Amino acid sequence: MNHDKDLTVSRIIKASRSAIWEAWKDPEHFVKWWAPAPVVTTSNKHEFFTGGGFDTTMTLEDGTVVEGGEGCFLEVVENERIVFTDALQGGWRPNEEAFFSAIITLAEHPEGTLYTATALHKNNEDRQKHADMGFMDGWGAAIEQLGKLAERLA
Amino acid sequence: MANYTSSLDTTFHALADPTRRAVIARLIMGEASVKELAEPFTMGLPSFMKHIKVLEQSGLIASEKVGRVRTCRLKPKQLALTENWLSEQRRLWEGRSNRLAEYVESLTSGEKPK
Repeated sequence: MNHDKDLTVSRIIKASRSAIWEAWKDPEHFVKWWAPAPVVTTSNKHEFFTGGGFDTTMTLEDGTVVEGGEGCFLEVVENERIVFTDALQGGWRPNEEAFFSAIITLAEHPEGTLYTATALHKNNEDRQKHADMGFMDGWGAAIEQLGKLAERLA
Repeated sequence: MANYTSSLDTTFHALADPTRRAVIARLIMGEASVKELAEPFTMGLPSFMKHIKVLEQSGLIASEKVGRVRTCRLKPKQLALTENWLSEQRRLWEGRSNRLAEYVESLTSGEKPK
């Protein structure tokens, strides 16, 4: 973390880790929660193992079909951790475009499971170049300030 | 979407420089002339103007020349766009986590979590 294009969300799910795992593993479960209703998710490929590909299609209420493109599971550790990205497809074959990697972790919690999703977003080339040159200090603070200002002004 | 993304790239590029961030920070306090904005920096005016140009092209600021004075001000809409991009991603992931929770909890309701 600590990159300003990363984000983490976590919440407690009142269910066992294995129940949550099934909801990820089984495409029939997966399509029921991946996109918000009334969007209908169709799973075209769901190879739930390290290096496996996954591919979904979303159908919007008005019939518009949105192809998700094929992504890749980078790490699948039962009941613990799922890492996936849109930078690669199944078999670790590179995609043209990359936008994010996501890390899902499941941890035992007295009330069930602590579910955490961290999304790491692509640094554009310029940003990376500047980071390499040590120009990025203060970036986070700047964005935060700007964001707050923008909210006030919007 | 492509336009939206390229506009964001331009915005992030514009903000990825300490001089330009300092200019933005100054303009948050109110509009200022290029001369005033350039004062804290040791670089020459032509170099400084390049930074102003990048900020203008990104849509983060606008400038207007009256007589011999060019005055710069912030354009809040582009800043809002920058903020919205991350907020949107956050909403997406929060939504997914919540739907997963509801779904799994509805499947397993009555069962005691192991």
